[in-house]
Amino acid sequence: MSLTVKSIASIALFILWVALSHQVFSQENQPYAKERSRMVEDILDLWSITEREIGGRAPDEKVMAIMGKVPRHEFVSASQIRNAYANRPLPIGHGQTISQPYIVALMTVLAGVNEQSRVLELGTGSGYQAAVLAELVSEVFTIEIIAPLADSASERLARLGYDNVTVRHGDGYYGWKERAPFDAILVTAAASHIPPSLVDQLMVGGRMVIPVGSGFAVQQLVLVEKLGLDRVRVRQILPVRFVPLTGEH
Amino acid sequence: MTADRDFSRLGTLLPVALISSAVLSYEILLARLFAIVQWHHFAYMVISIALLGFGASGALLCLAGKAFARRFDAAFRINAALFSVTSVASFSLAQRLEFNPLELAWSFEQTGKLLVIYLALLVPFLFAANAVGLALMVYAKAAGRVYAWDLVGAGTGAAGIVGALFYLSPESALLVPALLGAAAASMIGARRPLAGLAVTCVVAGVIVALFVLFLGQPVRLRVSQFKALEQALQVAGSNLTVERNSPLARLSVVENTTIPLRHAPGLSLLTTSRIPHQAALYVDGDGPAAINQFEGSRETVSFLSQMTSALPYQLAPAPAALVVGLNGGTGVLQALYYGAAEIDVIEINPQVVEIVRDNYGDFSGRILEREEVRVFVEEARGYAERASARYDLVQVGLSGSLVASGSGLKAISANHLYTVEGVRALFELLKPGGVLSFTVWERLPPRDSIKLFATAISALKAAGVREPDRQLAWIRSFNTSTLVVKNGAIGPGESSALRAFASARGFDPVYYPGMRAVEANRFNQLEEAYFHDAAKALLSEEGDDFIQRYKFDIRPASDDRPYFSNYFKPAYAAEILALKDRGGMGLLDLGYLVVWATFFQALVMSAVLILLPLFVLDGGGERDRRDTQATAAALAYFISVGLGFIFIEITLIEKFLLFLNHPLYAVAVVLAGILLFAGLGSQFVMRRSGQPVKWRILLPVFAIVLIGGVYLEFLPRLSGTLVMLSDELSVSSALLLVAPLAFFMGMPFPVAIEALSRKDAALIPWAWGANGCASVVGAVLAVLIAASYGGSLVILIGLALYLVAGVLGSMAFRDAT
Repeated sequence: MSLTVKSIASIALFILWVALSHQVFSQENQPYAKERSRMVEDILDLWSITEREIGGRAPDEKVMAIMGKVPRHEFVSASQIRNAYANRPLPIGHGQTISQPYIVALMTVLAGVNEQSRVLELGTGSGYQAAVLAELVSEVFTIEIIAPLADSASERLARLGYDNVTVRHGDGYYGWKERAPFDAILVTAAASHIPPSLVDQLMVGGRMVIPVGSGFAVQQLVLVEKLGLDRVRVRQILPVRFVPLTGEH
Repeated sequence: MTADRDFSRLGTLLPVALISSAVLSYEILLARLFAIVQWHHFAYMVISIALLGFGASGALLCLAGKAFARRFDAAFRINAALFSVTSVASFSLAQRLEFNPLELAWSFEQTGKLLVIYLALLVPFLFAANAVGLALMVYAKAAGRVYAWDLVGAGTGAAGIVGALFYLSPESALLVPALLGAAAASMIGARRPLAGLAVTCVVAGVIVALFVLFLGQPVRLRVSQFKALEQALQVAGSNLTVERNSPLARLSVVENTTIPLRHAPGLSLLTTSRIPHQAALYVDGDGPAAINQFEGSRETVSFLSQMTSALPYQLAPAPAALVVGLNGGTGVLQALYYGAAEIDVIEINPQVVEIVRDNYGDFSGRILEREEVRVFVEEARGYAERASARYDLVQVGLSGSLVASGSGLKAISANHLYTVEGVRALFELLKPGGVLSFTVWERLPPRDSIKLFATAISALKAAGVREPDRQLAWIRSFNTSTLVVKNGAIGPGESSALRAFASARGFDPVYYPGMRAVEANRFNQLEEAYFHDAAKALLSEEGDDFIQRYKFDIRPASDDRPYFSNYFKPAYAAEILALKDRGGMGLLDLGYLVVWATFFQALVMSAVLILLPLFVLDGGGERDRRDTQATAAALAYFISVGLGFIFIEITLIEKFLLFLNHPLYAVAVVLAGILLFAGLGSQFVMRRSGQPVKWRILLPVFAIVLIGGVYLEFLPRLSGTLVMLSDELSVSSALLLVAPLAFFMGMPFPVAIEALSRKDAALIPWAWGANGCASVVGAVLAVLIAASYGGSLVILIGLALYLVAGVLGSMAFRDAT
């Protein structure tokens, strides 16, 4: 009996060891794994500093695991690969940027999505935010107004196996009626105002997240919550630690 | 050194004037080109590069001047020709680097690119300065005449290039300094220089005509891909329909029927109004401002009632309105939407009016040709001071783009409308019961609207209002704020109207008379009611204390410190910079940082350039102690004169902005005036070579201090009268005011150079360099001091520096005659 238990335990341990070593082995084999985990540490550091400003929200474990998994270096140009995992925004051509990883993580958490969610993104850019969302939700619909960016993002997401993302080139101002309603809408393109028609395509209880500022300096994240059919609440979140605004004498 | 070489007057002096004219026109042109391809704050970098070129030239001539001097004509010719070639080539190279200032705080690579641009652009300035410096060195005994022609050439160049920009695009105009340089090269030492000039002019004219006709521009501008215009052009279906150039700005209009522009800053999230078809107007690639399609039906533009900027119409229905800034015509259309009986529009740029009225006349419903609309092409502050009309509503709309304002790229630009005196002047245009309204982009952490509120309180107090709290109201969306200042108390009925307007559109009241704290921060929620708390604090007795403790500079701007968009408090610099990697990028006012960076760069490079020749010239301690002391005094003298000159020059330009109708004319007129009259002063003093050097230095110094002191006291009072004058009269009075000061400011430098030529001619290029370096540092330092402490202090320091120079000069040239 004890021999059997021992044998089973040994076999179980062996299986666990194989699984873990495979995990470690495959981690080691994944390019930039170390850089990615360092990037996640950077995001967590910044998160803890700004926790009060972002409303005491915890850094969602799932989102952080995804940030540690999505190959960001695939979403930047060859000349920027060395910076791919730095916690900073990067230019991707055509006057657009790939957001700072911390902002991507924060926007994903603020969107409040789960495995069943259907999400609309306006401003595909390189497709990185869409890839992060794709790991977390059931479907992502993303619209890009710059044709070459839409084409390259579409090809890239398909190549990386993100088959739950649909990329469309065109005008995103009126959302994507055929696919509405959505649990969340992320507007990553700068705008002079929030398109009111997008609220109609949001489910009750759904959220819209919009970064305000230039691609290199996000000043605030605007979170629109649809509380009822005709009720919305707007929150303005500073992703920055700078309080109190009035210093001492 | 051939310090007493004879020279054919015109064959040397005309090329000196030409190369000076070339280098100054190049400097002004570069500032314009950088405003188009990057953002305008690079103007300060250009000034600094130019002057550093002069500093570097001083060092170079000190080390190798003797060799050059032996073959003066050839050396001058080569330097002038190299200026001609590198002026175009360096700019072309600088453009290829694809420098992105928005990335400066993130990446060292951009700092490196900035340095390369700095060095590349230094080259043409170095060659031009070599040419002038050589002339000064070789003809030191006639330093006054060389210096005078140098200044006159520079003055003509400054005024000439502004004129040329009315007819040439900035990129084509790059050929102007290049050709002037070539003309200087071809003419040096010529026996019949005027004939040479005539031939050169004809040849140059043919080259320019051929170039423009067959080859287009000499350089193709590569505009930053992060500027709004470039981004709009990337969108599928975009079409650049109009492009206009003038010395004021490059205007571009983009249309897109595939993916239309929809520009409605701070539009209510609750609205069902649609935005009509729009064309986008960009100024120097920045913006946009919307030109709205209007076919006469009010309903099609009802979105104009769904923005915070519609607030003042709740207090002033169907008003006689003044719209400040045409932009694309949105403010006029909004006034028409609200049934304004009369609409006066002030727009500084005539080409903006032409685009809306002519190019987009039918598209925009010919709104500018309606009976009730009158357009005045003027600067707003000047109009406010001069106008006799009174209005029910004065509306100052949004200008610029969110990105430009958000990145703090406007931090260092003087604006006399958003000062206490400017707001008061607008307030005094109101009829009793009329309202003045401002709409600004809102940023977090809050600063823009808070500073405006503080400015409005001060303006009301200055206008004799005892209870400003009864006359102010303020609402905000997530990205815009609108502030209303009423000429009279806001009654309870009006307060309810404001509240209802805001509530129906999802805007937050920030302040109005009788507002309760619970009403604040409800629709667009922040962690705390920062805006309301700030408004209450500013209206309370602790207002000044609040301003002092706030981490951004929210002191009301004044005419003496007209930098409304500068929010940077040096005391908190370390705290903000430490946050750079922690998401604090939005807090960095980039424009101001670029000026600081330029200052430190200039300081270090100047120190190297001044000290390097000193070690070489010292020759391992050959000089005795007395010589060393005199040399140190001479060094300090040239530095003081350089700093003093530039401090006064820059501040005078800025002071005169107020009553000359446009900043560009102010710069051109004052700069040209100072240089011309300083040139005359230099000629005058050199004719009195029989007098002791000490007195030829001390007398002008006393005159400068005396005249400067009088200006410091009376200029602010005088500007109220000057602003009322016509354009011609105000330009003439500006020149008249500049003349005496500049006349004497032209004397200390050549007198000392001449004295040095008798005493120790080897030091001349080094003095020339030290003077140049002081101007580099001074140009940037003047702006930094003015932004924090006001322009009057800068002039005061300038005058003190001249006094110091007087003392040092009499020490250094004690025995000289």
